[in-house]
Amino acid sequence: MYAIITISIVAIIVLFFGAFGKKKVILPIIFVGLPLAFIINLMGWNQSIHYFNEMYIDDNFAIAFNGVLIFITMLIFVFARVYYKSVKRPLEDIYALILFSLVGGLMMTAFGNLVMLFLGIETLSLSLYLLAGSKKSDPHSNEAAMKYFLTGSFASGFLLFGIALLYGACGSFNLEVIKQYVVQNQANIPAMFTIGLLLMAVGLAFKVGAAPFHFWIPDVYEGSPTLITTYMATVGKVAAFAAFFRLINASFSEVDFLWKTSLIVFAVATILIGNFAALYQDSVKRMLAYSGVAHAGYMLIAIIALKGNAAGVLLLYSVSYSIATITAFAVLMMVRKETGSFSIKSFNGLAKHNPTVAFAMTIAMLSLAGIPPMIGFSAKYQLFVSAIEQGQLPLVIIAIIGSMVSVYYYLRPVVAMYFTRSMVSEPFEAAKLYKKQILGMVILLLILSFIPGLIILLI
Amino acid sequence: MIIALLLILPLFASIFLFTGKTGQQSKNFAFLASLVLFAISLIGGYELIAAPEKALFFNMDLESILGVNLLFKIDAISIIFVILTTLLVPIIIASTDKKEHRTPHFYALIMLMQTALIGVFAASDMILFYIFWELALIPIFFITARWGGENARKISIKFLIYTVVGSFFMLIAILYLYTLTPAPHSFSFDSFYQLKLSYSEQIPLFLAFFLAFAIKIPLFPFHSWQVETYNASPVQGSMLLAGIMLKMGLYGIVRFLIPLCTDVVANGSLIFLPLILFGVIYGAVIAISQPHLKKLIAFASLSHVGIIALGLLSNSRYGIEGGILQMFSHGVNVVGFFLCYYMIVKRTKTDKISELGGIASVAPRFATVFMIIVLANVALPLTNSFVGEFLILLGLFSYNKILAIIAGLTIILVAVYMLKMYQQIMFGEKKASTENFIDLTFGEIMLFVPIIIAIFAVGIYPSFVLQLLQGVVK
Repeated sequence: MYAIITISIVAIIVLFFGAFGKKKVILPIIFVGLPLAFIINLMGWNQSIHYFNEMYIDDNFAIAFNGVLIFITMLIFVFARVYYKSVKRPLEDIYALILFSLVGGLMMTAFGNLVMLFLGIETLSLSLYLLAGSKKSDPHSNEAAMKYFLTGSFASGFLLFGIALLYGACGSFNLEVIKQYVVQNQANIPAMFTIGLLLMAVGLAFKVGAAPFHFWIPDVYEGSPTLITTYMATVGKVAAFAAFFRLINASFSEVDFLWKTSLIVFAVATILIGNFAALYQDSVKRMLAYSGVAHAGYMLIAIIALKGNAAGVLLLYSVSYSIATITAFAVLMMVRKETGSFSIKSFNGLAKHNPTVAFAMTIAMLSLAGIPPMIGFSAKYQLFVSAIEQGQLPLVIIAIIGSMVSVYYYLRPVVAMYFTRSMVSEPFEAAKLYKKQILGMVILLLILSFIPGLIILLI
Repeated sequence: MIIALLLILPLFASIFLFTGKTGQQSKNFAFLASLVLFAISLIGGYELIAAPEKALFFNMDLESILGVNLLFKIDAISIIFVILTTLLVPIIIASTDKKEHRTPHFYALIMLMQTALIGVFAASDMILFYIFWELALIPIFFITARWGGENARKISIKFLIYTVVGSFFMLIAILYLYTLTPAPHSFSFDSFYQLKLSYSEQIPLFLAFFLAFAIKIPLFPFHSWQVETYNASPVQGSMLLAGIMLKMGLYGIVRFLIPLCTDVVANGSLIFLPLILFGVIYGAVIAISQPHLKKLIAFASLSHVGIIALGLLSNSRYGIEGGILQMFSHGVNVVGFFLCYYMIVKRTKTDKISELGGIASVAPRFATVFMIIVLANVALPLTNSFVGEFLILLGLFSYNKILAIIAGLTIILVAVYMLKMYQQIMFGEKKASTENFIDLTFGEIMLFVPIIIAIFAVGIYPSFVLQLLQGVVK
């Protein structure tokens, strides 16, 4: 709770300094404010405080996910420094919007009330709509913002309608009350309740980017400025999954016959569509967008296998996916800055003159593909184990087939970097800017690869 | 302790080489490190010979940190392959020619590969096994793609996808086994061995494991990556692949397929064995008419590993013992064969058999060495292959006489293509490329010495290996 307040205050201070044109102090303020929020967030560990009539519940699940979200945002700001280096403007609007959307994300992981869930999702989404269009001169960015806004508000409508129907059936927005209602009326669930639940699932499936509601993802991810895409693909997705998980876990775990089949269909479709569509992308950015879709499918498995240690698995998967994705996008930002293109051809021969960067991309790709001993493998395998323990063997087999397919497209940039001759004969200028940060990401990824057990047993 | 050293040393050596600090000394550094490893593994072997029923253990419960249980166990079967690995890697490293100017990364990848291979043979936890199994792919992929010949890039990707597909089937099988273990579930080998699987549970398990291992070994009809990859790889990569990495698949058969799917192996093998046998004959027949030496080695290898698989799946003690012994022998022989190939190509720049000839008259030392290795491949008595193949055929005979007779006939085919090749390359008239063939130098002879020792030691006195195995093979 206090983390939210801290971040909001930081965002407002950032806006103030921006208004007075003090560019130099903005990022330092953020780099002080976010760690502070991180620590404040951790201070609530094991206390499980309920705020405002159970509107906001600061339990360990929320704290762990909020910690991850704040940490990822810090990493995004590390890259924001270099990404916006040549921009003269203070950019207080973009930074403040990122912080505000983070506030929305924090609410989504800790809601105890459906209204709070909606509030969190809207706070996150509205900021993201704006951020997607933040490159005003670029028509693609405008297009992305427009597409995102139209489809996103449609999905929000579904979500809200679902919430309304649930309220009609149970008479409360409170997750705990809904759960009691479910336990009491397990035998005769009214149709209104079922429809409300499914509508909510559709709205959330849209937000996490699960098929068949994934169509916005490639276009929006491609058109938005890469930094914002990174943010959307990590914080946006992780927060939405935490919310999805919390919703199902807190209220509907007893009536899994209502939602399980639909979620399995979503998961299978997402894994297959995401992986197969990614095969045919020539733009690495679009490929990463589809890879994000595919990973959403895997994360849905964690929700389907609710009864095991699924929260820990989801946390591990979120961390592994986010860190590897940020690394990949960071390399992409650098390549784009130098070559002006996202196409896979611009990666040709990168390894020769920029070995560190190429190594980073390789590690990120291997981790996303789930090749041992990277953290991506531990995450996938823990996920599969928890799903199999719940008797979801066919689903796991499909997921594994998806992983096999993914090896091919994840390796394409690696092959281009190491084994294709390049046109350029000297190291990238931009590499100097990005090198240290990217190296830091690789070290983080490698360290995490050795401690998946710590993460999964956290909650 | 020994296990920890065997795993950590090559890993650290690899990391150190990756930093590039060793510069020109990379080869010497890697060679030294691999020799130390060889010595360590011999100490382990000595301990096991003293007490064959025992095993070396390394257990560290780091599940709360690493997410996997660090459980290693080297028993009599494992130690054979650990020693095979540590014996061959120094030879492979030393064989690299100075003129080729390999970067430190080349040696770093070989050392990483060694870590992974030892890990595969020493692991006693399924997930660890899988991690090392997959880890072994990454270095060999880069070695092939980066230092390979023509089309190496495409071929290495094909190879990678082939094997990754196979290992995903294994992952499914592992996860399936995991659910069958009594709660709390466990991935350790021992908990799997204690399972009493019914016949209907064994069938899917057998299929998934068999597919994974058949791709890796490779067995007919999953072999199409093999010849291309051998051909495209630099010769050190081919040695790593043929000498050690293929043994991973056979080792998997010994470790999982035979103990876990006993009934399927006992009843259902009649469906698989003819297919494997066909692959044996197929490889041998194609090898007869191969114009290129390297491809000939590849097809010969395909044929040889098929025979090993036949022995292992013959469901008899002799077959299994012979198969394990033959796995060791084949590793040594094929690396020796590739070394001979390398010596020829280094000097003549061609591996077309028709362009070679008359080498024996200018290079008698090389002719002798090559002869020994060819005869070892033909399985002449007193060489290592003889014992292994004899036991395999004995086991196969007790299982099915017709199969054994056909498999026995392939030995003739082996002799045909091996001796024909030897005769064409070493005798006859000298060709332009072999006019100035320089005989082996002292350093090159030293490369062959351990191989020849291994050929004769196992050939003349195989019982020390077989005794080691008797306690374990049931």
